[in-house]
Amino acid sequence: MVVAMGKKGRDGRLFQSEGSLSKVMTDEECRKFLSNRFPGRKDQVDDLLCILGEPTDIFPPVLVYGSPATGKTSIVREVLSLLGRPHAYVSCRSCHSPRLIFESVLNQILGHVRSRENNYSSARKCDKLTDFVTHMVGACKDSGKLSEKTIYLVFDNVELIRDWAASGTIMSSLLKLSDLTRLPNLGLIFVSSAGPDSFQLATASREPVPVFFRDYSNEELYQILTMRQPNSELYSFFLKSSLAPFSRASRKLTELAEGLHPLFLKYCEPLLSGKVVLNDQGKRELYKYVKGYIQPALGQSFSISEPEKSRPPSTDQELKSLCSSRPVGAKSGIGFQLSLCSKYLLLAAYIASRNPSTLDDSLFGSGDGVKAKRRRRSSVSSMDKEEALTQEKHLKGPSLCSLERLLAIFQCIAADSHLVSEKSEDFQSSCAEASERRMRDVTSNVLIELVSLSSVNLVIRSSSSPLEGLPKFRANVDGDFIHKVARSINFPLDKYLLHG
Amino acid sequence: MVGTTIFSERISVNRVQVNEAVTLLRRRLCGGLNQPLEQLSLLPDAEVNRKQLHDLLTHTIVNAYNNSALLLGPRGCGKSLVLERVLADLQSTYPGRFSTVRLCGLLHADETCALKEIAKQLCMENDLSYSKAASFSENLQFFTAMLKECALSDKALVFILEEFDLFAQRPKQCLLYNLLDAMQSTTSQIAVVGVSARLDADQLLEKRVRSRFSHRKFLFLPPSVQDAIRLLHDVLTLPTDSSFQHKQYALAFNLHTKKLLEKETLKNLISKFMEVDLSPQSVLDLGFRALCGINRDTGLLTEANFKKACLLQRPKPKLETLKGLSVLELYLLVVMNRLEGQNRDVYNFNTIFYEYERLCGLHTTCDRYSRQAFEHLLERELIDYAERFTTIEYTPVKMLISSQELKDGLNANSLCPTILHQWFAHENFK
Repeated sequence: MVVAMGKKGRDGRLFQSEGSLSKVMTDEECRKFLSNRFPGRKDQVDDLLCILGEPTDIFPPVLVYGSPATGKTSIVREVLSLLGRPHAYVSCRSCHSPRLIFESVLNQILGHVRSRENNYSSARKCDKLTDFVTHMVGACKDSGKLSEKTIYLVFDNVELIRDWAASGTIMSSLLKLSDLTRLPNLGLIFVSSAGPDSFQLATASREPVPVFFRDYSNEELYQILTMRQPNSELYSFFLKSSLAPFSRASRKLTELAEGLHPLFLKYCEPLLSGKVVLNDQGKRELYKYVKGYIQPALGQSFSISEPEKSRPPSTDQELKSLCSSRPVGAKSGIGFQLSLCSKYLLLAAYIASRNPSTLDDSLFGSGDGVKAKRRRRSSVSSMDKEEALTQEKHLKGPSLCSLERLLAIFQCIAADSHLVSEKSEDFQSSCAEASERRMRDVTSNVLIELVSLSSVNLVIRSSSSPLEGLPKFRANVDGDFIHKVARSINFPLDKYLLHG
Repeated sequence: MVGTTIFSERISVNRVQVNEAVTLLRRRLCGGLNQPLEQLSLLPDAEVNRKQLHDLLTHTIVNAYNNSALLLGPRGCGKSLVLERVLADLQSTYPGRFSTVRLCGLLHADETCALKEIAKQLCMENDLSYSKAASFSENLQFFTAMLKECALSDKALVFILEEFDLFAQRPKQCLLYNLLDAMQSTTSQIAVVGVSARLDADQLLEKRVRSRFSHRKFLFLPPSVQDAIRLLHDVLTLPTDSSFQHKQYALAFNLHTKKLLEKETLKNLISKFMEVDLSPQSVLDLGFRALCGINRDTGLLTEANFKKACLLQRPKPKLETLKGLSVLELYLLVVMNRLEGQNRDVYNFNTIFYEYERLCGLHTTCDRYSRQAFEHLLERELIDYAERFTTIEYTPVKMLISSQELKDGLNANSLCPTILHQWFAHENFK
């Protein structure tokens, strides 16, 4: 049963010619059907139906907008297909360039299907807007659709167009498509998750008519979630206890459904094993039983204690794996191979972007070794202030460091660890020689490694202006990851970091 | 059959009549350029411009006097409408004496494209075969040859450049130069009419182009509120002649609409609506929205229709978005607002989360729900990255709403806990 998540797997349905649907609903029937099917969307369905009007009516471009997972696409498409209106649907997510959009629209209007026979080619080739407009007129004539009946074009996810090159022109031309093609019977519907205020339309555009899909209220969420379940009665009992805490964190329908599912499985467990019978007494027991799992499932977002430890390890792991959004590979190790040199470089970059440069001398300078110098502080309040400052700096994340500093730290830690790891052996001198040599040709091989690190985004190279000289770098990894890297080569990272 | 009483006169209305009327009015309201041109009445300013433009183009057609003009004005003020009407007039007065070439800045700003399009349209007009493969220079030659031919056969060419500013923003303004330069020669008979929503469109021209341009500008300014209401009234009037069959209903409808639009409350409503956007187009859109909500049984527009249409046409997207936020998302926003109050211009997820924990008195590691909430805020465009680097938790963000908007949002959101109001109102409250 698909209620509010109809988007998936329905892209590319073909342009429906009139009469291909077995039964075409009237406005009234459609209104009734959709209000039942989409709880809390009566106003929007009404609004859309009014704007669409009769099959021959024309209307100004419409912008349907609202947060994700509020049923925009589903309702627009349902309305059009229930009323049996000929329409073409293009999502700007799957058609990620103007050319793809144009060709997809034309394919649907002409009833062209890309298949092996035609080598997956489109009906018309058009790169430019000019071609599209010409072909559009031709296509509407060809398919005999230049009659009175309105042809509906639905553009989904138009907020993505804003990130494209020359986005202003594309958006305004699409809005003016009916003027440009001089086809009066084009009905343009734009579906977007961004509101009308976020489209910085150039002067060359027309304001679309807005239709807003508001977020679901808690009661509506409750209805929708219950509708989607086969055993709706049991689920509604379950929701009574669990929906409220979950909806405090997120009210996005898809996430709620996903987050509640493992919890519902837990909820059903005593029922399935026969421990609890489904009556008033049993419901109360179930309620109590599931209460304990709600907070952990929320990831301790509202609790202080850590109840995870008190629970048996098997369920712990199970819940964790169900709730965890991170890929599993990140847990077990770093998940991919890095050369030794790259690892040192990454560590150096991390240290360089974590520590203030004033600390370098005491960390890597001769004699003092790792111990930082202790300065006398005048008073407690200034200490607090300093603490707060460093705290804030830490929260702000890695800072930029120059290439020279990064390389210098790299040499220091590489040389250091070589001495440490191979101290017991007799080749101390030869090893020192080796590291000496390594320092000398640091500029060639190591720089190549650095470039490859920055090309995979582990180290980020900031845009350098010609005035600033050499580019600056910063490590783009979090603490967990870098500690794993350090552990994999037995590098004492904590020694070098100011804040653990 | 439902009866409607107007001036104690009972008129029966049925759905068929209403539907027909609505279809007709919709066609007028949003047909734009694609409808029969005589139907819409012009605003007084536009009428003056229409006459002048008509004279200007007649001059070109009859006296072979080369002209250029710019129609300037905000979007939706009737520039194209006037132009189309003038052209239709001329077409009926001087059939076959001129042909039009239409270019649009959105489509043909590129010279190669534009010349192709010109060649294509000229070919169509004169029943010549058009070759797609023709090169730029061939097209240019064809174009100049056609100019001469047309002038010899006493046929004028009217070039219409819509979105004129986009042509002017091309480097070198090659097309404009060629067109306006052709105007200077005595062997041609052309008029160039530019249409643009940028009032400074003529300032965009290069010196060599500007010197060839005749600097005739027609300004289309947005109408006053009274004019706009009159326009709305004209558009929303059903014809009582043979084009609409149900005369009695039409009379009743017109009378009712007239009375409605004369009401003081409605006038205030519309003038308030027009404070944001003065263009007639937006008023027509308002009319469209009101017409959409018409009660099909009574078949008459009411004040409630207009009120609802006003609300629908001028939504407050940010406030609506704030209304739908979850409690956690509101918490994060309030914390951000507090951080801004402390003059900390740069903040990222870590800073926000640290502050949030400090305020709540919690000590937890960063959990995935707060991360999700943070990402929702980004998705809904209430906050945005100030610059793009590193992982999400370190990327500095900024709020895209003012603290006043946040305050209204907190008040509007039914889920907002009271403590959040206090956190918002008192900077030092903890």
